[in-house]
Amino acid sequence: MTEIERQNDPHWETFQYVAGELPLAQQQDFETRLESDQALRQQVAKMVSGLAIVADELQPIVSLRSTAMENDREPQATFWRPVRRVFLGVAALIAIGTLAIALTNRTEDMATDSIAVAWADSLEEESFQEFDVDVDFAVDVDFDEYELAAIEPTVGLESDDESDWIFDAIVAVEAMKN
Amino acid sequence: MTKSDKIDQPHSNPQGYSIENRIDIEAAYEEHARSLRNFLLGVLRNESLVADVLQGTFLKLMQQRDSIRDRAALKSWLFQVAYNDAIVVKRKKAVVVKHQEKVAWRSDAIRADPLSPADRTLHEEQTRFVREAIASLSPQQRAVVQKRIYEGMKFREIADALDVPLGTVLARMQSSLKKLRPLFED
Repeated sequence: MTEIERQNDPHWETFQYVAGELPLAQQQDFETRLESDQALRQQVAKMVSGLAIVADELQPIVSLRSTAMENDREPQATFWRPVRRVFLGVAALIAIGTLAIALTNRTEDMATDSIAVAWADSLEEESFQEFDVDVDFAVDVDFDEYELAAIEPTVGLESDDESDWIFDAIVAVEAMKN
Repeated sequence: MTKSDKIDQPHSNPQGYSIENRIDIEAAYEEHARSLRNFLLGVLRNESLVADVLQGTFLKLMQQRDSIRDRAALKSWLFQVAYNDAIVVKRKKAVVVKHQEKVAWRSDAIRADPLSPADRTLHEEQTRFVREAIASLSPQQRAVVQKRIYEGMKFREIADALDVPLGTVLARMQSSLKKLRPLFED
């Protein structure tokens, strides 16, 4: 800082020194002057005490306006922050409610699906049971091949191609008897 | 006789000094300790070192008070001794620089000393002035002042945080200090 700059604004350099913002060379020059300049020493003392009062007065402002100041926005913009929060809260509640309803419907669907699966399973079981041919009945009764062919097959046999060999076996057994 | 004139002068002396014309240590401490502490905080920016140097200064005063000619020279003497000791400490201990407080003026020591009635009145006036000065700052200036003086951020950090050039930050700070100038003057 030049002598002219110091004379124009003596407090600026003192502030920079107290704040630790002076470059090293300028700091050393300042401290050399402090060795013999009582007025400069008192200026340092005054700067510290004055800044203490400023810091104490800034404290309440920090909690209310700091974010707005950071972005160089007008303080009035902070009015919309609580409004935005309420809106987001309501939107979140609606989303949660919609999700809950969707999940409930899904649960019902899943229950229906479960019932359908169980019914299908039961059908398969019945067909399996139906597949259990009463062989004794086939042996004890005399049917000729035409009568046997005329017999209406049971539900399970009708749909099960693999049971044809049993039918053939019955026919063969009857043929042997005859 | 006021507190600040508290020097024993039982015998008049053409030179204004006698063997019993001794500096009252307690009175000297009451008058100068606060200002001296603030000065040392500006130099050292370390509260515990400030306390050590301050104590050492008044200890030397007790030991050398006979060499002090008069009250007018006392303040200058105290500041000189305190500064010499502070610089020795500062240049010896590199750790001082590392542990310097970011915001020396927020030290609790500044607020620890009780204020005399006169000092309390002055403090109230200064507080009122500061409130008005801060209210007169633009939002941009106030943002810089708050970050530098209250939060202790460096100017470069403030420039990054506010996303403005460093020169702009310095200009805002300097113009804000000009509004606070009466606070820093005698």
